[in-house]
Formats: sequence, C-alpha cells, structure tokens
Amino acid sequence: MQSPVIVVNTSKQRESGRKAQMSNIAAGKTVADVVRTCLGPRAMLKMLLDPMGGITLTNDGFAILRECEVAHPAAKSMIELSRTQDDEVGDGTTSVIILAGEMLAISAPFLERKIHPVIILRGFQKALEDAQDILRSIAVRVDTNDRKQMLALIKSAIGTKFVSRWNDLMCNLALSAVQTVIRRSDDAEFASADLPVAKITDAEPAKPLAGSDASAAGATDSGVPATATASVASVSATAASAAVASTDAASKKDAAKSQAPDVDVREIDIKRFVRIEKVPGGEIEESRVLDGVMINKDVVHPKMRRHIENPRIILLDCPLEYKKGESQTNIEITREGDWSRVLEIEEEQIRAICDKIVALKPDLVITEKGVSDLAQHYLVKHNITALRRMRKTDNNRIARATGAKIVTSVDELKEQDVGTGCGLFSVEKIGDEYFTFLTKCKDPKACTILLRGPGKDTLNEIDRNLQDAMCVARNVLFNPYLCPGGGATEMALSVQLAQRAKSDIPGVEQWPYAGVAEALEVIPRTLIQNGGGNAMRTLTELRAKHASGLTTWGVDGEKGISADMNDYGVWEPLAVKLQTIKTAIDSASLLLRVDDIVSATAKKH
Amino acid sequence: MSGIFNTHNPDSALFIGGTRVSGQEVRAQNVMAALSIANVIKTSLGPVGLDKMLVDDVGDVTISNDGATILQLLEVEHPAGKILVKLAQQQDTEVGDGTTSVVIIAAELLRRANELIKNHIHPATVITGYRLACKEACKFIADQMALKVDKLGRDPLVNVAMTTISSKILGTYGTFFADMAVDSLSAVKTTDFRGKARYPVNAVNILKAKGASARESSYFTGYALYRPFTSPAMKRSLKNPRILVIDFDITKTRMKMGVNIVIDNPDELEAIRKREADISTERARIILDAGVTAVFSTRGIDDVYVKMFAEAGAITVTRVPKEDARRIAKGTGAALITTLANLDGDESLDASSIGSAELVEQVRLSDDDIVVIRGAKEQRASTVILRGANDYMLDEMERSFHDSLCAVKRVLESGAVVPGGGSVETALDVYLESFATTLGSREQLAIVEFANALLSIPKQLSVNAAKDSIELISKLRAYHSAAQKAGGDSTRSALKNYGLDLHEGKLRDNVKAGVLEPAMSKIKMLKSATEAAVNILRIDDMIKLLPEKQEEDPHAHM
Repeated sequence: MQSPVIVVNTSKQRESGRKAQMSNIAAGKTVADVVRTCLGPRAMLKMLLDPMGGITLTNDGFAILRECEVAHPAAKSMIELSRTQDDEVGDGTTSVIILAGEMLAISAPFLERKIHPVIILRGFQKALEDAQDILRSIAVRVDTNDRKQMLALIKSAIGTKFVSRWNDLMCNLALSAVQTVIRRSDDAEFASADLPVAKITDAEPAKPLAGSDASAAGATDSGVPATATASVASVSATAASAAVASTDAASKKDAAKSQAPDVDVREIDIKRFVRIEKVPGGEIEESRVLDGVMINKDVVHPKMRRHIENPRIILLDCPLEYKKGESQTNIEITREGDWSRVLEIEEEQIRAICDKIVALKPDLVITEKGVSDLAQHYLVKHNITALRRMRKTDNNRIARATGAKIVTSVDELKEQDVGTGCGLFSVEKIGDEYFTFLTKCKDPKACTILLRGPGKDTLNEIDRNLQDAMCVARNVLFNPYLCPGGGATEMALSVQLAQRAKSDIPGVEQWPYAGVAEALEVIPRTLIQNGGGNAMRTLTELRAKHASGLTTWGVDGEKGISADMNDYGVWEPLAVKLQTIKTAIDSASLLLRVDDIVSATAKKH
Repeated sequence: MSGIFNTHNPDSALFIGGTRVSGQEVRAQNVMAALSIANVIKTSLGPVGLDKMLVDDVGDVTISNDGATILQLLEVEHPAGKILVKLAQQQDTEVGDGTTSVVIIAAELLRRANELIKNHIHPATVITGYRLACKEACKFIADQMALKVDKLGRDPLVNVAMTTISSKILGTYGTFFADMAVDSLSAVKTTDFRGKARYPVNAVNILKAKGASARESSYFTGYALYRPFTSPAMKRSLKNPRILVIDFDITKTRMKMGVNIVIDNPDELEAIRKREADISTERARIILDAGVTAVFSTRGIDDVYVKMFAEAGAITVTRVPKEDARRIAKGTGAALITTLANLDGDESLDASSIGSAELVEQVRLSDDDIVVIRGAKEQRASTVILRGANDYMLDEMERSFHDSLCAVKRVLESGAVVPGGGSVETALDVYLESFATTLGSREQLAIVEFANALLSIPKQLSVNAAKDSIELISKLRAYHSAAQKAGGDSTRSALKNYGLDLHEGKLRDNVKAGVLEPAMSKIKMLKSATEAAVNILRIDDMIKLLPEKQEEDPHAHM
C-alpha cells in the first residue's frame, strides 16, 4: 500500500484545459458586462461604494473598474487594460473593455469546435493588421487650427458623459486649457536644441517615440518664446477668436517651414501643467480656464497686500526661517551674553535672507517651505506679500505661467529669476476658503481650470470627464486624424474584414478572422441597445450601408437608429480607435493562450 | 540492534522520530513526483503549446510559457520534484531555453528506469546505461546532426530566434521579434581578451512600457535608463558627455549618528552650518572642474547642487538603480566611484575614472521620461522597448524575448545548429537503438529505454498540436533510419533533417523550413536531464524527520 505523495503545495487550486479557457472567457465577459451600459450618449452612471464608505459616481470605464475588487486573475488582466488605455490615450476605456470581452466571447465557439488557440490567435493578428490599414484609410484629416472643428470633436467625445448638459462650456474649457499648455517646435527652447527631431528608434524611423520631448518648467529660463503660439485663453467668445487668430499666425509660420504642422506640436503635458481645482458651490457655468494659476492658499500675514497688478514674483524652494545645521550640535552656554548672542544669530540669519530678497524689490514671494514670523515681519515692512508651503507641482506651474525661476537658495537670487509675466495677483474668497489667483499672464503655458458645481461627487465626475476631453484634444493635436464615431468605424471595420475574410484568408484562420469582424459589431450594437433601439434591424441596415461603401454611417446613440456621421457630427480621434483595437486583440491573445490556472487559496495559517 | 530500528514498520520507526521510505517504494514515489511535475508543464511545449496562468497567495498573476518560471511559482514540495525544478532553473540560467523539454525528458527517463528496476535490473546498471547513451547521443549530435553555420548569415540566426519564440506569446507576431532579437544582440558584440566574439545578453536592456501594441515594440542602440534627468532645467541632450558614475550623496553633510559637536562660541554654530553646505559644494566643484558633464548617481543630490550642475551645463541623474549604474560604468569606461577621497587625505577626481559616450539625452516613452546613453565608449549596448496591453503580457514578453536572445547568443558563440521539431530526438532514438544492439551487456536495455525516452519530445509536440502522434512518429523514425543507413546516397541522407510540421501535421525538412535550435542547447539539455535522472535514481532510501524534533537535529531534511 503506497502512501499518497504530495508533490505540489496542496493549498493551490488548479483549473486546466478547456475548463481554464472557459473560465477566463467567462471572467472577461463578466467584466465587460459591468461597463456595458456605460457606452454612448444614453449611458448611465454607476454608483460605487468603496470600503471606506466613500462613493464614486461615474460612467468612466476605468474609474468603475478601478474600484471593483475582482478575484479572478483574468478579470484582473482585463481591468489592467482600461488602465493602459487611460494612460496611453485617456479615452475609450469603456470601449476597450467591451471589445476585449467580446473578442474572448467569440473565441469560445472556436475552442469548442476544437480550433487550436494558436490558430485563433493567428487569425486575430491578421485581422488586427488589416484593421489598422482600414482604419487609416477611413480616417480623415482635421485642421487643428479650426476651433469650431476641434470643439465639435471634443463634444462628441464627452457627449456620452455626465457633463453633456454643459457640453459647449466643457469643450471650451478643455480646448482652451490644452491650447494653453501646448508647446511647438518653434518655441525658443526647441530652436536652441541640438537635434531637430531626436529619433529614438533607429530601426523603425519615427514610430513610437519620435520627438525629443520637452517637459517641465525648463522653458522658463529660455526667455520669451519666439512666437506666442496659443495665446491668452478664455471662455469668452472674443478671447476665443483671438486665440484662433494667433494660432493661425503661428501655423502659417509653421507651414512656411515645413508642410506638416502636426509634427510641430512637441509637447502637451496635461498632467503637469493643467490643474483642475474643484471648488464646490456656485454654478457649473461659472467654471473657467484661468489665464494663469490658482492656488488654494492665503497670504501668510493679514497686513500683506492682496491685490497687486503686474507683480514681480520670486519663487523659492528654501525656508525663510532659521535653520539648524544637519549635524547634531549642542551649545554649552557658560557666559550670560552667549545666550542672547545665539538668539541674535538666529535673527541675523533671517534678516540676511530677507535683505537679499528685498534687494530685488519683489512684490510677491512664494516658497515651498516655511516662513517664520520674523521673516513675515520684515517682508510686511517692505510691502512684500508672501505665500508659504506651496506644493512643488504648483510652484512649477507658477514658474511656467509667470516666467519666474524657482531658486533653491536666496544666495543665488538674480534679477532674471524674477517673474514678471503675471498681470494680476489677487486673493479672493470663494465659499469659505481663500484662493490666490495669478492671472492675466502674458504667455501662461500652464493653467488652472476652476470648476464650480453643486457637490463634491459631481465635481469629481466633471473632473474625470474633463480629463477625457483634454486627452481627446491632445490626441488630435498630435495626430490630426479622425474616424467617424457612433460605432461607424467599428461597423466599417467589421464589414470590410468580413469581406476580406472570405476572399483573402485561406484555411482555418478564416474563422477567427471573421470572428473579429463579428466582435467589432458589439460597439454599434451596444450603442443601439443603450439608446433603446432595435439592434437587429438597425445593425442590418448599417451592414447594408457599409457594404455599399458608405463608411460614415453609424448609430445615433440617443435614438438608437442609424445615422450618417457626416450629418450627426460625431468624430473620434484615430489614435484612440487604433489603441482600442490593438489593446483588445493583444489582451485576448494573452488570455486565450492560457490552458492552466494555478491559484493559491488564502494562506493556510 | 533491533531496538534501534524497529524493522516491522519502516514507515514510522526511526529512533529519532520520523518516517523512512526505502527501496522500491521510494523510487516509485520519486518517479511519480517527477512525472506529475512534467505533467504540469508538458502542454506548454512547442509552437502550439499553451501558457499557464499562476496566481500567488496575494493574488498576483503570472502568465507564462517558460518551464522554469512555471515550476518556480508552483511551490513544489516533494524533494524529488524539487530536483526537477532546480534542473529547469539551471537550464534557464545556463542555456536560457529548453527548460520545458529538459524536465519532460528527465521525467520520462525516470519512468522507464523504474520499469527496468522493477524487472530486477540493478539501478547501477541502468545508470551506467544512461550515462553511456547520453555520451553517445552527444557525440552523435555533434558529429552527425549539427550544421556548421560558419559564415553566420543572418537567416539561420533569425530562424533560431524564431524557433524559440514560436512557442511563446511573441510567436504570433511572426519574425518581428526574431529580427529584433538578432539585431539587438548583434549590436552588442564584443571581443574578449582571447579575441573571441562575445555577445553578452545582459547588455541588451529590456524596458517595458504599457500601451500601444506588441508590434510597436522597438529597439535602438544605446543604453536606456528608466529615470529622468534630475532637473527639468537641464539640457535635454548632451553631445560627447564625460560621464561620472558615483555611489555617494551630494547632500549637506551631517555627522554620523551619535556624534555630538560641542561648541563654546555661538558664532561657531554658523560656521558649522556653512561648512556642512560647503563640503558638498567643494565636491561638486571638484567633479565639475574635472570636466564631467554627466553625473549618474545611485544616491541623491540636493537641489542646491543640482542647480550648480545645471548651471554649468551638466546633467545629473539620481537614484539610478545600482545594477544600471554598474552597467553604465562598464559601458562608458567609467569607474563606479564610492568616494572622492584619495590617499593623501584630500579629495580629488582621477580623470581615468571618467567615462565617455557620444550622446546622452532624455526622451519620452509612453508617459515617462527616460534617459538614453548612445555610443558608449567601451561597450555598445542596445535597448529593446516592449509594448503591450498590460503588465502580465509585458512580463511574459520579456521572458520570451530573453529566451530568444539566449538562443541566438548560443548560436553566435558556438556556431552550430540542429534541426528542431523533434528531428534530433528521433534521429537519436534510431541511432541509439542500433547502437544498443552492438552491446552484449545489460546496459543494452537501459540504452534502448533512453532512446525511447527521447521520443517523448516529438510525441508531446504532436499531442499538443492534436495530431496523430503514432502515425507521425513512425513515419519520422522510418525517415531517420533511412537517412542513417544511407551510406553515400545523398537524397536519402538528406532525410536526417526531417522533423515535424505541427501546423500542417506533416513531416518536412526542418533545415529548409528554418526550424533550427542551437546544437549546444540540445547537448546541454541531454546532459543535464540525464544527470538529474541519475541523481534521483541513486536514491533508495528517504528519511524524513518529523518537524517537532528539529531542535534535536538541525539537519532536518536530507
């Protein structure tokens, strides 16, 4: 009688073969089902309760899934997808999940028919390549300088979101903000760079990482940029047209230099230079993009000036208080006079610091560290306003907006470090809090979007939507090609892939290839369903339209019927579409290759 | 004597407390353990093998096709099983590829040995037989099967990389990654002091960035570092940088813990403070005066000093991982400096410890800034940037890519390939069977079993592809037997390159089809599989002490 042999840690659960594949597919489908109703203009919000009791109200695919706690490994992998999509293009997080789920779902029958996963994947890959070609062929170029077109575009992207009631306002906010932080290659900084376009890939020229990117506030020391590109941005109509005019001028100059103005857009760093400040209260209509920066801070001393026109600004990253040395020092005081001497030294030190600042005659001093009472006293005496404990990121934005340079030690203060780009410094009370405004900047390049609205949860959702909108604007500025929205692109892909499947694809791979075509229909279908239309009838209609070459026909998501996107006016960036289909197919490939799941149950002890 | 060992029940009767299993029983257990290990990974073999998804106790997911990785995460408990896990890992570090095959062969060798021993053949005889067979097999591969690729054209290299990749997640992308592996590895060619070409795999730096799709992965020459320049105020690219790699802080100096400075005169307090700042200022000065324009530090640099460097037109990168710092130092010819102090008690910087390159620049990758060093003086480096849908995918892509790099390296360095797709194994089976008949001793039986054990590879390949393994393998054996009896007949001897075509379920000339493997990895694989099998076969007694008795005997496991 042989005793049982324990080979592998017994606390593990194992699923293998068909069972593992099916369980992965089921997990994928489940995740997709969670966000299915969040697609399209008739999308509904989800209310999520986190373990701490906080709530999130959103219809952003990524935001929903981020909060979901899933146990199944495949589901985790799916959720990661929307994170990738969010990082990469910032939009289409819901579509990517729905599409990936559907890719998995259509593979199930193939697996049941005993088609080997490797063959399915080969079909998928072929379809992916062809799909990218088709996408590029149906994409149309957009003129990024045409504000109207850009607005329409952004509108279609956030049309599905909560903020759609204030569509025009939000689009204006997003576009203005993005145009504020845009940096073109004719900026002084790039003109002085050694390499015109630094290519990182020498194997495949200029594909994924083309462009030596600029970042951060470095621009501030390169003086005034050669041309003012995106100028003062504001939501008012006049200012808006002014912005268009000035970008037009810039683009003419670009066009003279090279025929492709789009490659001239070098950097749009939304994460670092656009800050969204949410201040509950007021009307949503009061939200605006500042031509400068706003910070949730008050001046340090009540006697300091709260309203300064054309302030001279000094930015510091050092404390204006007495600082002990780093080493552990003890003073043994034996004489009486020494004690007062020690105190004097402290005062002298602060005085010396303040003197150096005062010598430059600033109106405003902002430091990332503290300001001692004594220093405040000196500064007030010289009519200098001070702000303390500024966040590093805020300080960087201020530096970029005002042209000041952050100085790490007062000993190094120079005249050129003083920022004069700001037109108005003011402290205002909104609701119950004081806010510092640095506005009317000459050439901001960094901005704050001030959001007002009824409640914190609403504002958070608007914030997320606005992020999406800005990402759309950024994507289009980088890659000014658009695809018809409303599921028209997916429909076009689906119909054309289905045709190619029959004519061009030999062998068993034809099935999964055609499967991709079928899966793509999930987007228009979901749109119709969410809009309350008849999915069967409308889809058939669309298929017929696309078969006869009308690639712009999609779904009117509000009514759930078919519509020509040329009339309906919903367009989406090509970059998002490309990324969506790539991610969906790549991830399905990963999961389909799995035939064994070994998972540890909770630790034994 | 019988009081010490209670011979009635060998299971529970060691005087020190524990269990003892011996003889046939322990062999049966070990073989069973080995087989179950092989069972877990055998479906991942070959171009149509599939991946395993492993979830650990905190819920982290790993998806892998690599035998060594899978086994490592399985937490194997059985001692004999552990030997196989080690075997796979050893194959992984030494050869980098063939980790799954080596385990399958070892397990099959064990199973067959066990049958022989059951038929009253002494384990020692089996072991000698296996050793002899292994030796013959290696000789046969080297003499008969290996194809010299003297002129090392590009094609065989790409084919080798392709063969490795084909079983992995990257296989779906055709020769895209195979080309990349060959290019990136060729770019780091160096010659050692004997004048032999070397291709250090670790000079190929693999970065992973989420986003885009796998096909947008790219490679470039130069070393990339996943850190940005310390300050945005620095230049974004710097030509002909003079590079210094340091392993100390440039921050305000402070006395070590517990050192207390006692002063009498309050004015001295100020002096201490000033001196604290000055020490590092002087250091920064020394560095700048030596003409250094790029500083890579594994530690931090205070903003004040960063500004000094920035104003002098130099760039700095802080918090560089130590591993990267070493590689940068090696590549650029710089020394990894831990202190500026010299023997005279002063601080100085020797010009010889400064490295150089053609260009240092900061570029944007997905959402992050990275630093790229191009044209390093001493050793060229290349960097591969993998893109993919999520982390799990990227991790697996990295493992696969690494495997293919290893395979290409083996071919480049040893210069010989063998046809893949079960071709070598079948040829060996045919050859060893006829070799066995030349021996009149008991080892003959073991050699025949060894030969048959090798067939488990083509068998598993065709099973994974859902093909009729019996028909395919009989045909394949017929081909190889014809090839080996060919004499001078060239059409018949060409049959020796025939192997399986798993997509079509047919036989084909795998040399022509470009399914190639490094000869060296096949030989290593046979040798280590045999050694592992022999190791386990030699065991005829297993004593497992009870854990409670640990204090009495620290050597708790055998």
